[in-house]
Amino acid sequence: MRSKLHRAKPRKNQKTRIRKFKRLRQIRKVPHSEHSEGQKLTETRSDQAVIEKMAIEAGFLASSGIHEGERSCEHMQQSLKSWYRHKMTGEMSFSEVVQLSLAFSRGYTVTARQLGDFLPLPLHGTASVIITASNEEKTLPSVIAQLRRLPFHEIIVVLNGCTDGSYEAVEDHPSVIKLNYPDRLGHDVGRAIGASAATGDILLFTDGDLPLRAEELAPYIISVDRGDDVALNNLSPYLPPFSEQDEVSRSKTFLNQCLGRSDLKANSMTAVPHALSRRAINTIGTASLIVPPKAQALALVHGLKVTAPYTVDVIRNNRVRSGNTGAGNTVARLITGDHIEAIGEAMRIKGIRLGFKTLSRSELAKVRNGI
Amino acid sequence: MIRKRKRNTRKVSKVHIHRKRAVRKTVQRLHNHPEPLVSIIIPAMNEKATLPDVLREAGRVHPRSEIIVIANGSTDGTPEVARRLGAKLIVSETPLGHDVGRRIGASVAKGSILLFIDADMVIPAKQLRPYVDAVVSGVDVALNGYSGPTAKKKSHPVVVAKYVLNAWMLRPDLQGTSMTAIPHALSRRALDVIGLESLEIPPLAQAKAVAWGLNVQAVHTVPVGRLNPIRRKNGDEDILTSLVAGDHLEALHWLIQHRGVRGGFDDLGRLRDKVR
Repeated sequence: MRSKLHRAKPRKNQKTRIRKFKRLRQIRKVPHSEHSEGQKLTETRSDQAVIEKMAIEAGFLASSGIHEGERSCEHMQQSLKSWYRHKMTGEMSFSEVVQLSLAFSRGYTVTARQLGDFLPLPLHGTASVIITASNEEKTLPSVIAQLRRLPFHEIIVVLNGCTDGSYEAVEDHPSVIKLNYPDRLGHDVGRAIGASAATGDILLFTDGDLPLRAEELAPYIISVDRGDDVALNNLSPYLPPFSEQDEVSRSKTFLNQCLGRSDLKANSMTAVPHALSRRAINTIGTASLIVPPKAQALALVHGLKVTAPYTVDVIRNNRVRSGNTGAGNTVARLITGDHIEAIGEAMRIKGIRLGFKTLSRSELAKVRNGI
Repeated sequence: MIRKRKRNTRKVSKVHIHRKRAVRKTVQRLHNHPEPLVSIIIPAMNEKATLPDVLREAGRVHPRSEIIVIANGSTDGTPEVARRLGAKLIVSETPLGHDVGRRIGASVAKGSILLFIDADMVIPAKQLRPYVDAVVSGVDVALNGYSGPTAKKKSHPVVVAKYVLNAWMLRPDLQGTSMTAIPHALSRRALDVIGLESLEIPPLAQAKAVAWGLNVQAVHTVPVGRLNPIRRKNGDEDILTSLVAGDHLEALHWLIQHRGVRGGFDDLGRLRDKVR
């Protein structure tokens, strides 16, 4: 697919182009049901290719219509947004949006090669990203490089007790904000500090030791832009059978279950990447992010839209550190405490039984006895 | 689902549990010892069919025992059956439920070991003795080692709650074992420490037992098969699940009261005041 797109010439005969435009618009007007990612597109692979070709053309036109000096990532982002708004209807899957954006970028960079592989996204709001890092000088440059590919209006790097070259490893750039805390803040505190400093409508959270590609991060941003308040990494595919799960996974499952969201399984704000809406931040408060399960509990209690729309395998890439391996390790105990705190917080708002039925034992006995 | 469960049952041990099946056998009158060592407590609500067999097996558990039947909300002659067979009988017109029934039974029990079973499940005496033996040898709360089905990715909410409560009480070794399941036995000391009232909320009783340093062990496994106390299919299950989930939350609330907002787990020195 990729190579095919590369070969596609940005300029085509005008008539063909119009014909394809018309065809595309017809396709796009087919109403899409909301929860059927797989069936959303009735068109075939070739139709997707048509759309991508169009995106390439649009990207090319956007960049060729202006002076060289005006070509920038910001302009590319704006052009994509307006093109998308005018030409695209119906909801596309994350991968389709990403493919489309990549195609647009490819078209745009035909004349503006210096912009490289920037990935514009058709967002309504602004997006901030918060990266926390503790001595990650090796991975930070590649992490930042991937984030720079996305249309963030700010990249907030919270350096937590770094004693290596992490500070220097983060490039200086107008959109990069470095918050340096030489003393260790403790787990997850950096994330809350970063969130306090962020100004975007969408806040993406990731770690400095997690080299994820921009394409893998985009779905969380798009998901919040489309109206979700908390978009979690869906790690359910990697969840073993219950008997083999660790205590942390069970605690996560239990918390979701207690708050009426068994469908979220063990998905948790403890894991990255995840994204929050501005509304979520305003509702739960940045301080709650210090204890991620508590933030999640608050989001659920307050009826925010919590989803796990996309899967990125962070388990495989996760760095093994002393303290985060083995049963009953210190981090596991920390997370257990976090979940107890979360349950306690939910109880303060919803009552001890969290709204679970308090059938009298006598009535229960009748039910049990089949009366 | 059902077939799988049966397979599991066989694998764990060869206990045959008959549920609600009347077996015609002449049952001898029970002998309640005047100074019992073991009190066997059996709540019963319309269990006429299985009660004779349950009582027969109970009578074989220990020579110095008393058997207390709490017949509640029964309309099928359960109290008469219990009386005829010689069990000590407490009758309540209104249904009490297993947990309240157990508490009432425990309140009149004289033995220094209390064994709790149900009237709708015939468990052979041989499978009940290990619980009594464990308490004799120093265990305070002798639990059924059965943890419920866990082979799937997603487990039943009650199973999850049991596992999590034990883990949060720093007893992950107890897995999904719980005082909500029978059979289980208590020492007199356990009863004094936990308090009678707590027996009405079994997970709370268990949390207290663990927190106050009682010797809580899963001593023997009787595959009671289905989730305990969830017995009936259909929509009732939701209500029961909800109740048991609520019971676990009450236990956790007690844990938070007792050990602090983090249940005694520290947060590895988070500098919380750095966040405005």
